[in-house]
Amino acid sequence: MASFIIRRLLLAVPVVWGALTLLFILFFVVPGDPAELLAGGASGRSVPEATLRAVEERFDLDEPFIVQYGHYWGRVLTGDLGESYATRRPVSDILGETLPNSLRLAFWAIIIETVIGITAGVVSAVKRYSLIDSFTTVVTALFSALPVFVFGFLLQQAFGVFPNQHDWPDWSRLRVQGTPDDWFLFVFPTGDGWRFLVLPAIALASVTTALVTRMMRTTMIEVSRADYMRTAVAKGLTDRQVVFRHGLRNALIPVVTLIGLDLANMIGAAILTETVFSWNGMGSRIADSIGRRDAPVVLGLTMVLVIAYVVINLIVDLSYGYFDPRVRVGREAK
Amino acid sequence: MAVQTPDPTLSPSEPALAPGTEGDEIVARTTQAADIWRRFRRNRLAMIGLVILVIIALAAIFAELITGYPPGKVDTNAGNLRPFSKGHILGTDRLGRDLYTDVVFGARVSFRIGIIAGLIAGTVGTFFGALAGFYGRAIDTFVMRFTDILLALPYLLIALAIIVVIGPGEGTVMLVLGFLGWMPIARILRGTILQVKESEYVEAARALGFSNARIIVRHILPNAIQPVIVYTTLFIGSAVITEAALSFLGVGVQRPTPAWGLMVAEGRRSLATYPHMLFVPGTALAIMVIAALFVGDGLRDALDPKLK
Repeated sequence: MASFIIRRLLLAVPVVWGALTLLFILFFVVPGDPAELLAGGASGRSVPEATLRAVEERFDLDEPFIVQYGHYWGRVLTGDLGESYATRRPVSDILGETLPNSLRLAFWAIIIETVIGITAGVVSAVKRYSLIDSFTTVVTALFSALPVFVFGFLLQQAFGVFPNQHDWPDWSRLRVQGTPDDWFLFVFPTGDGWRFLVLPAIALASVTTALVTRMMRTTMIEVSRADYMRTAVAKGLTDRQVVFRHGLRNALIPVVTLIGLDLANMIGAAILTETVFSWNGMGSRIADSIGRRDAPVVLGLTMVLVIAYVVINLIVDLSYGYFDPRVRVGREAK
Repeated sequence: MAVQTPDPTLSPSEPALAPGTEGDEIVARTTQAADIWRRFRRNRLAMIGLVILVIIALAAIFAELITGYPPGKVDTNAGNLRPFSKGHILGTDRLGRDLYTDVVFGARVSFRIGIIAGLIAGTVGTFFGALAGFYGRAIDTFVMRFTDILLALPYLLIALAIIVVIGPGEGTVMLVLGFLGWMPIARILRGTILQVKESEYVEAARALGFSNARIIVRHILPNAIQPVIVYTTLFIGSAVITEAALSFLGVGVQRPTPAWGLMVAEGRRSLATYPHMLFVPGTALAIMVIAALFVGDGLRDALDPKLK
């Protein structure tokens, strides 16, 4: 196990290094004057000479490549992400503001995905070929393909716009834009905050829930063919005991991994979801900053997300080895 | 999120055609293709998906013949028309652009970007896959580590970062999608080549003193390319979704060219008053994506019946 962990950790190093170098090359070496880009002049606007000098000074753009590269790593390692050209705020400030909101949204999406995905998958597998199974299959196919930014607006129309236009009672109206301000225990919105949270969380969870349902169904059916399941039935256990204690426990292993990976994959979906619902998270901030050509914000937040993505994948990989000894053995045998 | 590339591991099991003489090869391949088609045809959802895709493709090809306006034509006298208005079957947007026309031409844009991105990804992937698979050793290690790094990155995010630097636009989207999508193709091809490389006819070609380039292009690739073609086809579907996402975020296709993602973003502003401006292109996109998904699933099952 120890050598497995060490080898996986060592594999992550070139990935992080490669990713950050790629970003460095993108923003500092690609043709075009990076100073002008960083100062917000990419869309053809002219940038005052003084600003250009300041930018060159700030990012050492007058230094040779290798020196710049060294400084870049120095800044990354000390957590200095530069400052926004639009608002002059340090990027680390913006990160502090948006990161918690992104985490909250992802937390609720994962909860929805886990609860609904596993339940629907198990029901579908146990009642195979029933009406409810066919229904689940069609719905999951639909949701796994529906782009978030189409489904999100569908939700907005159905639960935000429509109730407002038809004078539904207050308690039934959900909010379609914005982020709650106050949170209890980090993840629970206080007061009316849940109205803001429900729709984006559902939208963000939609695709991955469909995938989890599908996978849960498949693995559950596979497991049900295993010898130990027949043994369990032969022992005279109740259906419930067979399904939950023997079936579900074994079928959950790959699903748990998938859910872990989803946390990483949600980063991409979150950009769209947060934009659709104007959720004040990292994704929507990246999208906004791209519109404003605010490169330091894009670069800084992207960097954090890329590292998070690699680290989450790493943890999932490690936990996979922990949950399923067969994987560990198989990999070490190679 | 559907924006991710399709499962890269989906068909490495297919390629190993029984090595034999050139003549046998061709016979074996046609029957195999016929087999795949027969299995595919039996899958009802996949056939429905295929028919839908063909209809969309025909509409895209003959767009001028079936629409009444030039694409993206602004007509301020006909703005904000609801669906089923006179002369505008699906209504118009704020600036009076006919939604039906733009949706049909949007299909053309989607296909164009998807296919060109697919060609780029297929070519680059074939190049690196052949390089790694044929030469092995240091080159193999280097190429495969490089693909590992690229595959370990969040796709949409990296695409966004690149586009910020080189500037948005249709051409950029094609390039970025193509150059970020080749890694699974390279991996698949490498795996197949490792098998094909050991066959007798390659050895024979070597014995005849042919150059490496000739052996790769004439003897190895024809026998290893099939999974690449299949995967590239699937990739086109995912490229269309990513293109729509990028256009929605404002860094993809730019007006006056109509694109579905872009139209959704425009329709967003009048969601409360004129929801059709968003849901007409949104529905088109959803239908196409779901059809592509059905076809992809059917193709995967048809290629590898054991997976079922």
